[in-house]
Amino acid sequence: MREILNQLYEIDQKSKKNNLTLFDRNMKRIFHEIEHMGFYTKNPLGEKFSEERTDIDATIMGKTNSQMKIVKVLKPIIYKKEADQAIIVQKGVVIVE
Amino acid sequence: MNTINFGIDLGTTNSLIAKCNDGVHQVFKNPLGQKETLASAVAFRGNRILVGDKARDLLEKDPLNVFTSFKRKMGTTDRYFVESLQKNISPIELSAYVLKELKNFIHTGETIEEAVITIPSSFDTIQSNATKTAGEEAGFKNVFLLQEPIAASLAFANQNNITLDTQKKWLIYDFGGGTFDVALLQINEREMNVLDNEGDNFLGGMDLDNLIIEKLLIPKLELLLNETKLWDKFKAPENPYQKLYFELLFRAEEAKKELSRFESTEIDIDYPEKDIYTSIEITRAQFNTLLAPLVTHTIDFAKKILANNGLDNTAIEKVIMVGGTTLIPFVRQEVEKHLGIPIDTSVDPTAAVGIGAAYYAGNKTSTIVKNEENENKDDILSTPTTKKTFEVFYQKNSKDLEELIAIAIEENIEGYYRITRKDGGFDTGLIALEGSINKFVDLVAGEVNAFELKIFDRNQSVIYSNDTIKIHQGKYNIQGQLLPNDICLEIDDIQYNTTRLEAIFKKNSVLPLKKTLYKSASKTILKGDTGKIQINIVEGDDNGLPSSGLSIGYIEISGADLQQDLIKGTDIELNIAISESRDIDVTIFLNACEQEFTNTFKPTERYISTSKMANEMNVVVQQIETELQKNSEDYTLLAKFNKIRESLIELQIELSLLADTDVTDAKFKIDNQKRALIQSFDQLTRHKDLNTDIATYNLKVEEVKFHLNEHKNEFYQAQFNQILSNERAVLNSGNKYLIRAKIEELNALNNSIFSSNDANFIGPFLHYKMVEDYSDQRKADQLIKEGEKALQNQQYNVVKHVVYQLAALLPQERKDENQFRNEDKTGLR
Repeated sequence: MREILNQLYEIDQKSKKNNLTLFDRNMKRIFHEIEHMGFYTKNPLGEKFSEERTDIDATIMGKTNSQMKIVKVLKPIIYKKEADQAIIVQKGVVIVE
Repeated sequence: MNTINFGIDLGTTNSLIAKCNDGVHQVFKNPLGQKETLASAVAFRGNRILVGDKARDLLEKDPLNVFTSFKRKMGTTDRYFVESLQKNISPIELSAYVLKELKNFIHTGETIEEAVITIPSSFDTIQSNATKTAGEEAGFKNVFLLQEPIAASLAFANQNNITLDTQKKWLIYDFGGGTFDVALLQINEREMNVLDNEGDNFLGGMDLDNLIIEKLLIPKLELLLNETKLWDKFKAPENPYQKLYFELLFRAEEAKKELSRFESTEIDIDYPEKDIYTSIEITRAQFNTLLAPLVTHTIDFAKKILANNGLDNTAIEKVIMVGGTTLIPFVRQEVEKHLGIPIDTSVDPTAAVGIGAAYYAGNKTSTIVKNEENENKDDILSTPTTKKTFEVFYQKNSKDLEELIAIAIEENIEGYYRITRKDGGFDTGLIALEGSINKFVDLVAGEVNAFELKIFDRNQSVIYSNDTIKIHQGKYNIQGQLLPNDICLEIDDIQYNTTRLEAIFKKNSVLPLKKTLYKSASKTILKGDTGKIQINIVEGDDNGLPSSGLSIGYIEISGADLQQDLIKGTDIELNIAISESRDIDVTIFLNACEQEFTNTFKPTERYISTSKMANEMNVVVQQIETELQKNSEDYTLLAKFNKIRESLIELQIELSLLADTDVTDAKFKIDNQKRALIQSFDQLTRHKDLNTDIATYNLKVEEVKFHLNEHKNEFYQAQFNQILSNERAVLNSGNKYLIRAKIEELNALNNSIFSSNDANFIGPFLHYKMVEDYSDQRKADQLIKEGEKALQNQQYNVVKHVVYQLAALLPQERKDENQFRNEDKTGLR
């Protein structure tokens, strides 16, 4: 499932970059079904970075400071919900600046 | 007799912990991120200590305070100077941090006092003792060491259940992420010894990623970027393309994995800073060419071992492949081809050493005498109330993405604390205690954020633990506007021939809210026809009857509105949003017709369909009449039912007298009264329905249990356990539809268990033999004859098929019993 979600994430990102809206509904529907199976993804782009975040594997650009943000997401964070408790099954792979 | 059971692969780059009990092994995953391995890295950041992948992330940024590969320095007098602490720290202490972190992976609640830790076969006595000391510093009372090649062979031998009668020699070829080792092993009747070993501590899979960038990507990128000597620039301290390099490293690693499975792969490069969006194809052949010299280098080590020991390849029975890099097909082919020895790839290459250590531990007798009475069970407190030294304060509800957890500590304690979020997305690391604790923690939006707090003494033994901290983000917050009631959609309940409510948003959710629902059409509506689908948004208890709630948004789509026929079973997408001022936006998209309908409802405008209202009252009056017949003894109840019925009939008359053009508020008054009456009816019957459903549920559970006892089957047992896993929540929900859904699941499981044994079809066959009104009696007679013959010959699979075919020949009305007849339903399911 993780690899399927990663591929879907890439398709979604590429479609957005190329302004392809043709498959938007289908993508939304696929994500909806996957959510029903207990999995969901999160794109942390633009979020604040802190060393305490363990939901991402970060590569840090430049000098570290308290204002660092996630500037690129190479893999999304994948959660799985089990008995009301979400668990991270894949950390996001990101670049922080 | 107790065994040690826990094995640890304390690696140069990555470590792992596994357990073996009664021959069954289990590799523990990091609760933070669910990875099996932990990076062997420690970072000291101010008063905080980070261990693992998080620490390794910071290596390039803060090399003076982040330490890796310290295994290479074990047993030396070398010390690492920690800039932020202004003190020296030994490789033993660093290894102890990794071992302590691995102990946190154990989620089974067991305390681990002894472990087997693996060491390279090249480790001398001092290095071995240093590893042992690290184990003791990590809190193990006893540490046993095991050489890594032996561990890998143990994993291999146990997994394949190998028994040896004669002496054999194996090579263990271990090509990991950062190091390469090859060892010669002698095995005799399950005893193993390392005879020799060779290796390169600076050769691993990571080097391959850089080769892909340097040799395959850079030539193409230089053209695109109009640059020369790009590789040198990548390696320069002030690299202007740092971001691109980091991304390429990630892409190269992914491509390397892809090429183990496919002949070619594409690397997408997305570098908006220079307007580069391109895709570079690399083939397995190109990759293999890059890889060849490195593999030859490793093979030379293996040949050297053979030569040093005066052996030729026929003396070696097999080469056991370990380490992530051995997943590459080319590595496997080359090793086999050039050594001329069969290779074995049956063990999990990344976990083999840890698993082998666990196998060894599973047979190693514990030397610790357990004395229950002497054990201090108060060491770890599972609840905060049993010891008053610590008091924890936090907001249970928050609309912010950060919240404060404060811990008041009465005495002055030297030690550390650590707060982790249970989804694995937040970890403070070990923070030195300086009086009371005030810590802001990150929250995940819209979730219940569960945290665990641990307080450690100076030796990092847990002295307090609290895993009951829960902060609701975006829920039940007094600052946000709350929904006073459930907001539901009315949908068809085909099975019970009625409609029911399905919650879209639950009571007490914070506005604004948005949701997409996918439904399917429960009936066909032809273009231009009078049939319609009804989207009825209802405010009211989702367990109640639809007509007992307040309709706050209503859309009808009839055949006249359609550009194409709406076929039964096709998808209907509903996007429903409620703003903070309670406007309701509904967008409906009919997939089959590719048509979109949008409507915004404001709470001040009520949409009421008189025909729908009349129908709802009619349905309830009929239901009351059925109840009246069923409860002829209970006079109090009868009187209550009668009163509701009479009032509803009066309202029906009142509604029928209203002119279609009526503009007064009369129909709204009727609607209010109708809802009040139906709610009273609902109250009277709901409890009864629930009890019946719960009784049916319990009966079904017993039925399945009985069948599972008769036909033991792990697969069905697991399905049954899955169904029962949230039993309590479902039974206590008071929602009959949830309970009925569970009953359906049990029915389906029962059918599967029943159908899995062909002999079970004898009973139904005997029953179908008695049926006399088949739709095609001649064919049925033929089938019955066939069935009898099969029964005599004990061909039960034939009996099964005969039963299925006879069922298809049953009279039509019997098959139609459950079909949906009422035409005036929503058309959604």
